[in-house]
Amino acid sequence: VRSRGASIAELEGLYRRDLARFIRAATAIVGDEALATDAVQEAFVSAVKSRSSFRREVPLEGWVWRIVTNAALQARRARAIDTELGEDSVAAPNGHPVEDLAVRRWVAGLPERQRLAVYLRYFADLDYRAIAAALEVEIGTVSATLAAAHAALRRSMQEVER
Amino acid sequence: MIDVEPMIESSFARLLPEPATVPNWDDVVRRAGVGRPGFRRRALSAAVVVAAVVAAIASPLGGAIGGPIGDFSTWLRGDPGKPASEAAQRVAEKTWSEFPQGATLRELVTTSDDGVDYTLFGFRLHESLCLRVQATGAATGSSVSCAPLRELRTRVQPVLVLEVDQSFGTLPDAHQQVGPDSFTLPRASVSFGIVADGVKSVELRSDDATHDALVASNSFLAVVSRPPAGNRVRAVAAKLVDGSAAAIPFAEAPFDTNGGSASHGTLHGPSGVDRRLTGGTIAWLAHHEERGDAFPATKTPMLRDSQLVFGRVVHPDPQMPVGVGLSLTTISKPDPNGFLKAGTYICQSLVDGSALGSGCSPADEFFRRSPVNFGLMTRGGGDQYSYLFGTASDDVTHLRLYLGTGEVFDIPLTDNAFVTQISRAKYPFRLVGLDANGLIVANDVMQSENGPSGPAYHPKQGAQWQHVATAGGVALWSVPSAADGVCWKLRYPGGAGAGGCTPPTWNGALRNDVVPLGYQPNAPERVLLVETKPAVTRVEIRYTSGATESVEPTDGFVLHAVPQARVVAGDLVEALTAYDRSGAELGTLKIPQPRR
Repeated sequence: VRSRGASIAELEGLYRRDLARFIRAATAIVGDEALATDAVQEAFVSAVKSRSSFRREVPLEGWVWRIVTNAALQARRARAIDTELGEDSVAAPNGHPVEDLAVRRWVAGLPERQRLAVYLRYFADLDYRAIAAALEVEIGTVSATLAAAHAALRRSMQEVER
Repeated sequence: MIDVEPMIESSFARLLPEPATVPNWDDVVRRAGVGRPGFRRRALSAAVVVAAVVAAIASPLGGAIGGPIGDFSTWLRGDPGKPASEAAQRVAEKTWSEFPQGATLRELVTTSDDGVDYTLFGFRLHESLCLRVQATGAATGSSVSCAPLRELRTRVQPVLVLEVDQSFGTLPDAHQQVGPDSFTLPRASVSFGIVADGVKSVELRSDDATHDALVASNSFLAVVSRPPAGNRVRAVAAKLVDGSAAAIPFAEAPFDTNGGSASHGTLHGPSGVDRRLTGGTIAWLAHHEERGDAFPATKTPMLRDSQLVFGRVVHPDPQMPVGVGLSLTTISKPDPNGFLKAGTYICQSLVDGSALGSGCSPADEFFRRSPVNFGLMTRGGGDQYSYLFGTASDDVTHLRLYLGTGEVFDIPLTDNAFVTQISRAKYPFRLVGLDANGLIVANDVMQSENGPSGPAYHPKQGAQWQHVATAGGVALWSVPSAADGVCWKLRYPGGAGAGGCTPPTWNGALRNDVVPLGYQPNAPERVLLVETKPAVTRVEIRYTSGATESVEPTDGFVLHAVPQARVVAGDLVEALTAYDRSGAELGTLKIPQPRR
């Protein structure tokens, strides 16, 4: 039974299966799909290079997500402008304008850690355990973070409805 | 109360629709330095001239020189195959980063299958022999692998495998489910290598069938079109013109639970050290002496948010096309994730113009474990050779490598750095460092590279992964291994997973495969996985509170979800006890508790 190190085949499997999810979540962080795609590629290069440092105490997916998240954050810093899903950065979507406006306001107003948790939960569709591994926090922290974020969105929705 | 989750999901779907992405895994492995190595012509300075002169002297006629059966004379003293076309030679000179200036490209084997044309080329690169397969047509691509010439000089077997199961192209919309996982299918997989004089045929036994390779020009090329997912070469055999046959050792390409590294041999060399050292320095690096070449800082990102203080690239072996980069780097503020502390770091990397692979440690910890700090640059896939590179402290004057085959050779150590190629089929190896008095001061062993391989680590031929059980949202799959053990996978909600293989025999009545509790403080796992012997009909789970639960194994496994109430209360699994049909106790397994 292997207890340390990830194999290239495992990483390739994860890459091929979830590339769209990685890019989608990275795009949310970076604010640009092309840069996000580059960041995801770069992240997997890093993951392959450092695969021997992976410890199976955490899920491989969470470990890779941590690398992808860091690469996306790095790409965003390199871009030097914050173009996350703020109100001015996303074209007005078709349909459901009230909800989308609320969601966009909500996302824009979140602290970075909470925003990352939200991206990983809803763009990457990660469970709490994987999010915890990706952000290196406890599962309880993920739960509390998302609960607080949801509460903020509810407040935002109620404001919109008024 | 507003249920915000569906709203978030639908809004996010509109804000960022699913990207139209084209996977490019080849790019990942190439940039990671585990695919096709990106040798730069820049590195081919004086050493190329030396190699070219040696080659010219060694091959005065430039033609094939046949030798005794099983001998590699044709490769060592002649030029197998025929000169490549002028066009191919030009392409190699202009576009193949690994192709040395002045070298002659030889065409060895050509074949076509399933709309793809394959050509196997050969050329010398310093003291290495390189084969490169080029695919054109319905699938395009190339793959190169180089073996040190010493492998030919000392080779016992008449075939030297250079690469196995290199994929070319993909089949659009073709996926194959392997248990819980879906894999894209390649258009073809290719294996190739060098054969000695007198070899009549080379046979590759893969999971799907046995394939006869094309043997020509002292080379072999085997193409398997449209292979099933994870199809791997498991055995290679050669037949010679005198009627004899030989099994050829090689390292399998990794897939799924199979790590791909081979330990064919046994561990050789001295054990232990004569003099134990802790710490150690590289004086020239500390004093910023300009050894070797300038450090390509812009191409070698070492650590995020770090500042390069000083770096050089040294070339410990002029016969190797790569150097070793050594640098001092500082981090002024610690990484917020806690990965890196502030301070000075020593980074070492394999360099061919840019870093192929690198690693950094705090300067005061670089030689803490051993006065030899080494890394392995796996080209990955089925390439049979890896780079072993690294740094030794000033205490070390000689390095000696003991391979699993019993071969022993010294590795040149210059400016505290070393680099050599190592066959992945010759594990385990031992790397020994000696001081000026001949005392052993470093002794490191590597059993395998990517994890173990062999029959115990891949499914039995024809066996299919079967879903065994699901508990707490975690699915368990298993398949009999080729060694009559079992391989298993866990798939967590969201796709994360774990897996491994178990040998056919093990001690005790219960075997714990996944440490079920912990490692994330206050976040105990909710699912427990245990293997059971056939005689076990019931397992009692005991919690730290003293409470117990009783479960029955399924197909030799117990996959059990710890009730959420216990998880919340911190009531952890403490031990499991196995019972047989008569109620007799067969054994108890204590479960490691999480770190707090």
